[in-house]
Amino acid sequence: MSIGVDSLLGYNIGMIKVLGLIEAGFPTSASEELIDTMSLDEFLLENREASYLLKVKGDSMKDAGILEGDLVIVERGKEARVGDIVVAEVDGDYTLKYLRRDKDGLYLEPANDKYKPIHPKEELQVIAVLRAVVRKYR
Amino acid sequence: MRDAVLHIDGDSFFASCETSLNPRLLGKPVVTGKERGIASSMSKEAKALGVTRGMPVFKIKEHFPQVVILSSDYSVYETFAQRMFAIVRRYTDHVEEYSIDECFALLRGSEEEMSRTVREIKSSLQSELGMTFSLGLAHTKVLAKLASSKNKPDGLTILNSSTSQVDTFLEDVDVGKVWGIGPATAGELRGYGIRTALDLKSREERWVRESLGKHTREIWYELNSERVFPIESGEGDSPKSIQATRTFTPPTSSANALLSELSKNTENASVKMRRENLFAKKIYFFLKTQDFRYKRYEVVLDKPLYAPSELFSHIERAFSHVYDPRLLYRATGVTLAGLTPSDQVQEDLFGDSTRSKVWLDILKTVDSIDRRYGSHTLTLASSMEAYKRRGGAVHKRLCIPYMGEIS
Repeated sequence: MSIGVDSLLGYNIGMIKVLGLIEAGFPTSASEELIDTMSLDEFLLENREASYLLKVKGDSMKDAGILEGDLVIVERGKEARVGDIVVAEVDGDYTLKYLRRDKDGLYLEPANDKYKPIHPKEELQVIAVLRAVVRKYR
Repeated sequence: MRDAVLHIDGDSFFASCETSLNPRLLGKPVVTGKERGIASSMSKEAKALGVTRGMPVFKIKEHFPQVVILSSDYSVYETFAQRMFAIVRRYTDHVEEYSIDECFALLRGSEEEMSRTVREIKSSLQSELGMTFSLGLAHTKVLAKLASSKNKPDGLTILNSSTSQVDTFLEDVDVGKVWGIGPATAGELRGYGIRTALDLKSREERWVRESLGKHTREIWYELNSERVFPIESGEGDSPKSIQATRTFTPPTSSANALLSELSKNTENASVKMRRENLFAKKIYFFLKTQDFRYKRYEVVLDKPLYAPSELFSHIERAFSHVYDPRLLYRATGVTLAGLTPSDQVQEDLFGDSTRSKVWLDILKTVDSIDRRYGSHTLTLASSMEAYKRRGGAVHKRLCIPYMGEIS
């Protein structure tokens, strides 16, 4: 199933037919499985007014299945829980990492052994919580 | 107090939208308006340096080289504005989108409930949009607008119904700062010894009626907690007004194109009005400029009208009052108000004009043709250009702001 990224930017998106479930490596004949229609917007956005798009750069979250070039949809104004993937502000830049806690308090953890956890010098500023990842093929 | 008016104002709105999407701008002096060569919005840091609205960009560069000067991105600001209105609508249907960074809303409930709602609205707006807002809750629009401007930025001022609290508040407000009072009126009022908003409010009603013009009199009532200006939300059981607007692309400064859009707006509003068997006594129309300023005009009719061609001829005549050929416009709109059921419109209305009566039959035919062959099958010739223009490319769907790259 290919997903138009343009549609996520809010243009051109219409109702998209759900073609049934697709198991990895085992494509089913979808034509008879027509369930209903759904809007990708509605599926991906829980709180539309608080949602924002970002494009992923680098591979610091690769083990969480978030790769360079992916589009992520994040939501502001939602309380972040430990274990969430969050957008946080570090030295005037935004970064996407796991939110973790140890005895010293909250810190950020990448999903790639190549990178070290980030322990904030001051209070950790969580800007938004990750809601969806969109990857386009071909 | 069972209901109250809330006024919400986005602080340094354009600059704040930019900062919300780009963390590198946080805490920096930011100014928008580069493309026009003058500052259109300043972050609080830029204001603190002394940058003012309308200041030429070359001067800002000369005196404040540390300021980040950006071109305006109106589609982003519009997205944030739509989000702001949508968030407020979670709490009430009665929302008036007053400008790109301001709205009024009508809240209901006990003072305690309303105060809690106001705090919730402020917190949702700020956390979801990533910028600050100033809010004012009071009994009337004029008071609410003063309240929201009280502790800008990030302000929250609630004027409850007690007179003494309102008076103490108005004592510190220069009369020229009251919404709707321009420099000329302020000068005139000072001539009467009126310096503060409280001075104006405290005048005797008789003196006010004898000495002040209609508009200043209305403001006097509003300062005295008597609601004169309604929240124009277009909501309600029976419509008090019917609106038709359209945003078109690309923006235009052509008078013909704009008149054609207005003609189409008039037809669309008139169709809705005919469905309810209503006549209009007032026409409001507006042109919205490329930079989101509204140029509004009000026409009060001698007699209620319903035929689009007749309504439009009034707009055509008043058009030159709002139109400036040097500006680019992106939207037009027509509101038909003072709506009266047709059975309450007196018979003798048709006495002087058999044309009006003829229109009743013509429009019945037009409506039945449109029902059969689809809307806009038959239209006024004056709307033709608007139907031909590409446009309507503006989707209702909200766009999702792009915040750039993240690693």
